[in-house]
Amino acid sequence: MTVWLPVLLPALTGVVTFALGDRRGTARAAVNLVGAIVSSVVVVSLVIKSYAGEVLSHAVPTLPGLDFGVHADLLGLLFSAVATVLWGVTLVYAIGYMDHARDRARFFGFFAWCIAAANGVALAADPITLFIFYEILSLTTYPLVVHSGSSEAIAAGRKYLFYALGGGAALLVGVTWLTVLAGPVPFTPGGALASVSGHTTELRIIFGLLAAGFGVKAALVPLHGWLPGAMVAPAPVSSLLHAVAVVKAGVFGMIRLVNELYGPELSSALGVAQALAVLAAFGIIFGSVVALRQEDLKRRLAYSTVAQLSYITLGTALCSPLAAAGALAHLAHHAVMKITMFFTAGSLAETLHVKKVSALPGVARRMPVTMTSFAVAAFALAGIPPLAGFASKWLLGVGAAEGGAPWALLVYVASGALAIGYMVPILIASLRPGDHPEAAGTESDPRMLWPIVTVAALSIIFGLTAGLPGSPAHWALTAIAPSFGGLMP
Amino acid sequence: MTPLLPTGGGSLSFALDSVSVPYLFLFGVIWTVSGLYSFVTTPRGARRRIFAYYLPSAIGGVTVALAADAISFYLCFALMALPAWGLITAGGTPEGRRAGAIYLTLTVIGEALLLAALALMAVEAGGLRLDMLVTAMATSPVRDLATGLLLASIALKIGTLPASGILPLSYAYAPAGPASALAGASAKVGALAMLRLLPAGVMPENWAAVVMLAGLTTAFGAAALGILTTTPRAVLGYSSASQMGLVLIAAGAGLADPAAVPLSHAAIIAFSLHHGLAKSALVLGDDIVARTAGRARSLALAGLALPALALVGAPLTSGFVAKYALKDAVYALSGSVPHAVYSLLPWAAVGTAGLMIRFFILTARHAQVAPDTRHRAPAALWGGILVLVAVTCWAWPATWNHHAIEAVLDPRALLTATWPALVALGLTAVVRQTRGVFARLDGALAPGDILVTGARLVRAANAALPSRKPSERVTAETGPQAGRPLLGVEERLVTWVTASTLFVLLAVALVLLATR
Amino acid sequence: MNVVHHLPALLVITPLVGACVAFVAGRRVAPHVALATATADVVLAVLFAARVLAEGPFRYRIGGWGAPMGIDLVADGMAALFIVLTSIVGLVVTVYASGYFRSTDPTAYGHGLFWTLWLFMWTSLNGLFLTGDVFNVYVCIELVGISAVALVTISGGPDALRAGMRYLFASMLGAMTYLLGVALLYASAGAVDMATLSERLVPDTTAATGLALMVAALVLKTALVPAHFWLPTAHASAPTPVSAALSALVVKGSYFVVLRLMLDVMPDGYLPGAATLLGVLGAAAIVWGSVQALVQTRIKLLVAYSTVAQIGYLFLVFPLARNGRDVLALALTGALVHATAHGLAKGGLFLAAGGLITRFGHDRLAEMRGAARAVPVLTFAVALSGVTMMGLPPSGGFAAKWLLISAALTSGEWWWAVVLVVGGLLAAAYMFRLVAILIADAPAETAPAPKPVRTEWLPLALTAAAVLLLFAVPLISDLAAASTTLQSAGVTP
Repeated sequence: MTVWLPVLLPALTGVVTFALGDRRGTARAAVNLVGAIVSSVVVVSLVIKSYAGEVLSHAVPTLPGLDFGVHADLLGLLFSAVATVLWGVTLVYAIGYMDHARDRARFFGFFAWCIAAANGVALAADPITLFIFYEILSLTTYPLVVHSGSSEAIAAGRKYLFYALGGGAALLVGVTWLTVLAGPVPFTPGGALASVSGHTTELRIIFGLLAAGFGVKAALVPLHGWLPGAMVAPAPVSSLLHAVAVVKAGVFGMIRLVNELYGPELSSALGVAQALAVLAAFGIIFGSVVALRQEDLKRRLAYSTVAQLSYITLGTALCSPLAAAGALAHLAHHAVMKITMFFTAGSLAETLHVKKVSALPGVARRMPVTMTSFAVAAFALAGIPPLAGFASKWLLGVGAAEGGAPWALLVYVASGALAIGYMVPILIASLRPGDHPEAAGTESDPRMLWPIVTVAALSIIFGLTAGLPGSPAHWALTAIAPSFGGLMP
Repeated sequence: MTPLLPTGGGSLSFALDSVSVPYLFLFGVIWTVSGLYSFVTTPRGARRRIFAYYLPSAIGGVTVALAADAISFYLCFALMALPAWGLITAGGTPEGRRAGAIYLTLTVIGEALLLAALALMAVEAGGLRLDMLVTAMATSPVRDLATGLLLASIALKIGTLPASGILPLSYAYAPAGPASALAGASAKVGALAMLRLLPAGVMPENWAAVVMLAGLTTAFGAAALGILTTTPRAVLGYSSASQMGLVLIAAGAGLADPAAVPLSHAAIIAFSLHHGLAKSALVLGDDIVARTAGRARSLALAGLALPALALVGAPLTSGFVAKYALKDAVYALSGSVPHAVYSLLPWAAVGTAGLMIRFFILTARHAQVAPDTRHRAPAALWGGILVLVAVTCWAWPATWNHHAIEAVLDPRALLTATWPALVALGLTAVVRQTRGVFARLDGALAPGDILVTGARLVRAANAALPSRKPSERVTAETGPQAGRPLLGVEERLVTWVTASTLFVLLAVALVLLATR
Repeated sequence: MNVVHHLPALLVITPLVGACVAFVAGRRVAPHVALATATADVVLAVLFAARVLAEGPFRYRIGGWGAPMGIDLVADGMAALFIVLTSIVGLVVTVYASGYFRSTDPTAYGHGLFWTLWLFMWTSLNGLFLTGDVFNVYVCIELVGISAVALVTISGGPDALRAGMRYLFASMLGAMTYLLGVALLYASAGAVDMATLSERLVPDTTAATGLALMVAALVLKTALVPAHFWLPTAHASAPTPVSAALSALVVKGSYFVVLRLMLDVMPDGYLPGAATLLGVLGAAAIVWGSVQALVQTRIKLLVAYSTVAQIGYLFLVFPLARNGRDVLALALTGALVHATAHGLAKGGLFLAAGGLITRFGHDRLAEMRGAARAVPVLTFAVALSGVTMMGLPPSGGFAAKWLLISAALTSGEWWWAVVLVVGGLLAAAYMFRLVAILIADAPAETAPAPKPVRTEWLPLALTAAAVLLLFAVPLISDLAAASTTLQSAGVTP
């Protein structure tokens, strides 16, 4: 049952948060932080167990022949750890950010439930369980997207749901069909469909359905339309949506799909992995180019996310061990990098009411620590060594070469260049002289500042320790190795 | 697989070998001198801003010489090149910012290409050490792709046509101290990449030919562009691009023929040492001239003659040594292209000489800025560099200067080294006589030439595209309006008559289906 | 004399006794009587279900006479499931109603009568679920119909009377048609007992016509499109607890009989065209009901049209059931799970809608903006019921959809899967239109003064149960396996 705790603890935190209501702010903050810390400890203990080779699992019987089960394998735990740990960091930020906001019980309650659902996606032992948590994630995110209740937010929320539920429908059909075709298919490193012979057309269609389902959250172009609109949500939500839980659930689903459901061999034999790779490559370029043209800071970051998520999808679709590991590592790395940026964007909007790139001049002088953190994340995102983004991009690039797809390598490097193209102008603009009346060096609320510094430091640490056991990159290599029939690191 | 994983700080490896020593010397000297020069010439308040960019750049710029594996090489390469953007834009002028943007774009693209190449090579080699990478390339199926990527990346770094604008852009707007570092060291990292990464003696002949022709084209083309610009440092930038074209010729010489590899490498090292020091001295000298007046100014102009003559390859200068090393490398090759290149090489010196004359004319026209009271320290630093320009190539303990040392007293060699300068002088005289014809061309180009034009085009194209509008707002209450016809249909459906009729029809349908 | 042995009879008698006592007791005591009855009924229902699970289907002979002379009650898993559902929703509705009628003007509603009618309807429903012959079905369905009509019109308002008349007309039309069918069937087969009928049934025109008329009548009572004309107004005009009971339970009663007729009484391959027609009409109901729900401007009408749509799902089981034992098991379990989930969620949704109407004093959707801040629990209940309507996990709606899609794909009739998926998306559209209005940021000055809503946790309890129903699916699956239908098809639990 321990293995359910990463799901149950945040869920319980959410229930208590709702029960506490809007008034008791201190109690709410305490409950949430304790929940996050305890959850993190549980996840870490599961990670230690899993590294030692002990994979816990548990299933609750539901539908005939279908168990509702989770297992704590390294692959899932990586995502789970990212979500849980960053939940804690985001909480601190959110407590500062939402200081004077309304409906805070609703906000923090759904926030916790989102994490519960994300952990469920991470640890799900079979496609059905994953689908269930995937849908719960869609639903629990919706109230966060529309939190402000403005008509803009409602419209964005409707768009989000339209996409999410459409994707969910595709996923449902795909999973059901697959189960009808192959019986129960628990995730197995290297593929779970060994028993199915023939049925290639059906398998291709099912793969398409599943990939489309995951592709919605993974913002795979052309299914990315909801993401830029969902930016109307409060900054901690954008961080959660775009960096941690939601979009990562999509790419994580892709990783499970290719590596542990179809298996790299079958995926490339069917030709579906190649198709996915081409789509993802297009997404990378498209997202990057569109990001160049965005004037709104958050929109620019959103399109950057579109591109970066396609990185992960492309790495997965290349069906090469190093690229797959790079994709998984990028899942964690992109999380810390992008969350830094969204935190920064949130701080700028909340403290200085700066939302456009053109309004940035003077910001670096006013909030030097915040903007330095942003710069670290921006350079990490562009793949400048020795920051986190470089480690995963290196693995992805090497994997692309290894997987016999040098063209993908070119896509990666081109997008790295484009990333500089859309990130650096932000830095340049912020360095220009501008007038912000308060004294230079006045940062935002410390509860918003320190999380930013923490996550920015993580982008450095993850890069520097990329070769050491326990770092995301090493972890990813260990976790992905069984899918390619061996130990890598 | 382990070695393919970048393991962060612990696994970066550095080495001191026959390639790293000259480059360590060159980069160390140039970055130190330019750093000191910047320190003494920058007002106290502006130092922090300059050095925030200067120091990381310098650290990367010096350690790149020692990098022995792909990651540390790339790391240092990036660390040097990216902060340089801050140096270029330090002036805060709009032109400087535009130059910075173009510089950054090209640099980033170049780095991306380099990273791609490194990743490809690392996979082939199964490791990260640079020597392993190059060895593994020889027989690899992706050799051509990797080499192409490398060459493209290097070309962007050293300003090969059509990207030659990157060098004048990076020289023209930075303060003199950092500019001298960029002039002396930046493009030389490209030369180092040629030595460290390009496959040696294993490529097909036509690769060598194409690369050499590209080098030759740049040597002439960049010189032509440079003569048309109006700021001294931009002239120096084009001169660098032109000279680096010659280095590219040397690199091309070593691509195909294994026998020519040692000579090719020697030529690259010789050229790097010679050109790095001389160009750095020219940039500093230009600044010194601007800071002095009267006799001191004449003295400074005279001092400038040394690196200028060196670039032209006049006898007894470092350029003389470098040209010999280059000629040796090209001479060793057979085939029509190398022969053509060999015979055209002296004419490149004509272009360089023209550039130097142009540079002198522009420098002498410099309006004098208020003499700096502390100009002795800059002058001393400059003097030091000048000494190194004069001595280094001759005294370097290597084999590539032997041929030049033997030829010092050969009158034919001396004549070969001198006539391009004389031709250039003659041409200058002709041009000055027929000033009217050329007046319109004078200053026809801003620093950065086609790159600036290209950037303008991109911006214009961008402005012409329709901008994205924020998504249309749909309010939650649009349902009823949109659904009015549907409501109407339903109202008719639920009237008594319709409903009863429908029910009877349903029952009849069921009965018919049942009794069929 | 073992109580457990007489459970089927007790299930019918207990609410009947409660109804009589409530009628006599007067309006102060009546709510307490109803509450006690409802609680007792829940206990009995659970015991009954446990017994069916333990022993499998059995027949209970009232007075020990037995068919064909006496009345036989058929106790199987399907009946047990619907009885348990009725008891749970019934209990919640009873609790809600006791608060609802206390907070309104005591003279406006004939609310002393409410309790009697409500418990009487409960009796009829239990009888309907337990009865084993088609004539008793007629009797029960008439009783259910009459008490339901009375409940709809209990407020006495002009809207309610108009809706009640329409409902009465539909109810009578259905009952007459049904009776005609029974007569024809009896003429052909000479029996009214379902078990006997299924043995004696021959494919002659008389029997087939009779059965077709019966099915048509039940379709009218279940309000399957296009015979749904009476439902929206009736469900929307009734007092809130009545709406909840009608939508959650009453339509399930006639649906239950369709299940019995189509799957138990008729042998395989009987009336094949009818099964397809019902499936097609189900699909049409899903689309048309959802589209109508999408354009409604009043909250109760929206919810009522949602019922029209959700009923459609229930009828998809018939075409699927013809594809062999395994598909039948999947599809029937799916339909039963759906009926349960919809009963819980729709009951909760109507109660929540009623709470909103009480809170705002009107039922105009457009003027309910910002309700989330005033009544967060009700809003949450609405959202949770949406989860089930859309068929999202881990709700019962999801489990049902999963089972039905599995059935469709296993049988190869994939187009039903398309209908199911599209239906889920349409449900998402209308439910989120509702939720979006509730959580929209309302300008402060138009926010109406708060009115106390005491019973707001009840809808939340029902909808939360619907959302977590996935975890009870093994139980429902066992009950389905203990139904006469699957037992006779040879499916072992």
